[in-house]
Amino acid sequence: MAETTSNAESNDVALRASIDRSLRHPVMFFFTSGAVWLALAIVLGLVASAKKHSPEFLSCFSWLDAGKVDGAHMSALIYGWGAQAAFGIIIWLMARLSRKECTNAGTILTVGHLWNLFVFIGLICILSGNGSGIAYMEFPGFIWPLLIVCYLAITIWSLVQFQVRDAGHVYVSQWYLLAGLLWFPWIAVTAFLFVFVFDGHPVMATAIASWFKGSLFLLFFLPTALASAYYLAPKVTGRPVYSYNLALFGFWALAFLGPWAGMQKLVGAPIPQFLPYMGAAAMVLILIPAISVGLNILKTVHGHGDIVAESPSLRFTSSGIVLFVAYGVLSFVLHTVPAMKMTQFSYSGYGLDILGFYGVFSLCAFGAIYFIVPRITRREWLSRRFISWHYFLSLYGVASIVICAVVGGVTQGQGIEDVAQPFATMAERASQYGWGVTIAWAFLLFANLFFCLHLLLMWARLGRRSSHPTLLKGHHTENPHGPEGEIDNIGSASA
Amino acid sequence: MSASQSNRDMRPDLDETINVSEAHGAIKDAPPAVGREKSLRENGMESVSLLLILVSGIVVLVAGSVMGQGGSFFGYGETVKDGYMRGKSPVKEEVPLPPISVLALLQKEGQKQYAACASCHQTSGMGGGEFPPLAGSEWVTGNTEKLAMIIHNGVGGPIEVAGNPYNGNMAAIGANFGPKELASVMTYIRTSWGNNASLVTPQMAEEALKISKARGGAPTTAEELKKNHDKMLPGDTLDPDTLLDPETWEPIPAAE
Repeated sequence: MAETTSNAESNDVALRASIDRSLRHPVMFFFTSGAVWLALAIVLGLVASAKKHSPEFLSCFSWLDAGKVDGAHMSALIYGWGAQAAFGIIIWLMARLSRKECTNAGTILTVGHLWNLFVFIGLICILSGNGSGIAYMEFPGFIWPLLIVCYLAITIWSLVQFQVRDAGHVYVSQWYLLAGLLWFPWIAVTAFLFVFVFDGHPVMATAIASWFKGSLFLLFFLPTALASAYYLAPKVTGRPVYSYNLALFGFWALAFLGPWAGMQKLVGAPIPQFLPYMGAAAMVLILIPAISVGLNILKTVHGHGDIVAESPSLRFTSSGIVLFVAYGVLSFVLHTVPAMKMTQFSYSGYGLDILGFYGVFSLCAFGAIYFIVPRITRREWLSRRFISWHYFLSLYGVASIVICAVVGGVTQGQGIEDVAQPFATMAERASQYGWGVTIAWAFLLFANLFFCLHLLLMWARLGRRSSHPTLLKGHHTENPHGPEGEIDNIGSASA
Repeated sequence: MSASQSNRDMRPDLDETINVSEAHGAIKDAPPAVGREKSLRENGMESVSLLLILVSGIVVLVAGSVMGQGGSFFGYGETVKDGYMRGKSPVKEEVPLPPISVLALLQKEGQKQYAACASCHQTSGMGGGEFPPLAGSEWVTGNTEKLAMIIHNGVGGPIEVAGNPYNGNMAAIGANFGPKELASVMTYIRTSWGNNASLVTPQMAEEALKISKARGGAPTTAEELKKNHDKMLPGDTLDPDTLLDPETWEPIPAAE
């Protein structure tokens, strides 16, 4: 009996190893190029943020005008870093959960290069003044069909893997992965057609673009992050997900609400009135999936504080989930009617976007990367300190951005509403918080320079050859490589 | 196998029955990270807590109140939200508008009023077809009283303008003009398109309104105008460069 168990286990290990090996090139490519784009996006974000309070900054370069650099910043962040990190997570996680090796790694890798090329061309277009000027869809029109085709060529194999998997239980992460995989083409194609192809009313195009902006996060990046969290929390702690029912509830709440959100920024715009209010109501309701998922994941890791503290992947993931709950609460507060009126034309929306994109999605993605990379490179992370700096600087950075943007946004909104005050007073008040946001981006820049360097070293196969995971603290404080010759850590270690 | 054999041979201090990698079930090819992974287990079956459902209920209530503000569901006709406009400042604008010369002020106001005239006389003041030109017309640049009567009462019957005979009917376009409007439109047409006549002050226009009132109100004819009204309106002329407050139209005393 014990023999067969151990035999089944070693078969499992062999299968996992062969799945990892089959995917190592595309996944590593997506992660490393994503990390490079992230560093670039943060540099652009720093410039964009500085322009908001010091318009003269770098004004000698016309390709760094406020409008251009802001669009380039968000586009590099979303399509350079976010999408590629998501691709890496999706294809790896779906292969692992469907227990199928990837047989199309070459295609995925090639198309991955094309994706990078198109993002690069799109960014050059934005910086040269040929962007579309539509938030989150700044790339010129011809880039979008190319990106959508690339997306299909990258992710279709994951759907195939799901289809041909050995029959059995569909795991929570797979719900989210499948949903995100199918939602993205729907929202991207719809938005592309209504914004760039159909000759509709421009106000309608604006409304659709803002719906795309909301849905892209709620229906693609968020499900990917949650899939990773639902995988890593039980995997690293070794205990089952707290509640299957709660997972179902959270998933369907998100699936039901997500498509309605997005138009809340257009309150008072000449579109059918109920649309922005419905978007706002959906953003209020996001608190429900946030607390359900938060409760479920945090209950799963509850009582394993030591593992959360030690394991880089679990620490990033749990922080991402805590920030998802914070996102839900902030979204709830900011989209009540009085708050919406107050903050509509202020920084606070940017704060919420960054909390979602960096605080929730990116932290979960970092967690997944810290888990996946040692498996596919067959090397351990080099430096405990790099990971630790990445974690703390990220956390401080994102917290500062969100606090400055939200508090500054409320002050700014009060200034706008107070008609007795001249406009300049409001701008003056907000610029103090603008400085705060710029400094916070500098934190994130440092965080991600460490991350990017670390990941590039791993990509170059310079990671540690050891059987010891790189843990953030614990038994090996005096020597991160562990006592010489110690190999037996199969039972105790979890990275 | 031979690799592990040689490995065993190179480390004589280990008991030969304990092959470390075999003992731990690690597959030769598998990286250690894969080997030490824990398996996913069945999901827990805790029930959804009552508290969560209560909190969700409150969130739904708040969301409902937000949605209630949006008017009727799927009401595609409602595109303007009442009360969603910036209020007026309770504090008066502190910076006064800069003073402006009387000529420029009258011309600016006159140009606005002229929109009513432009449909016949054209923005170029050249008229066309059955409509006489204003540019170079002696009725415009000549004595001001007859011009005021034409604008205020209209004109009908044969009339000769700039050497050409016309025979039409002009309605009393300026019947509702006050002195400011009348003065400014008269000044505008008398000083535009190459016309270079004197300006008409609001005081003069007020006199014109009095004369017109005494007259009755029927459309004038060219004959009547020549007989009764071929003179300048009474009133002091004003230096065109006199500075006025653009809001009150009062002259501004020269700065000390």
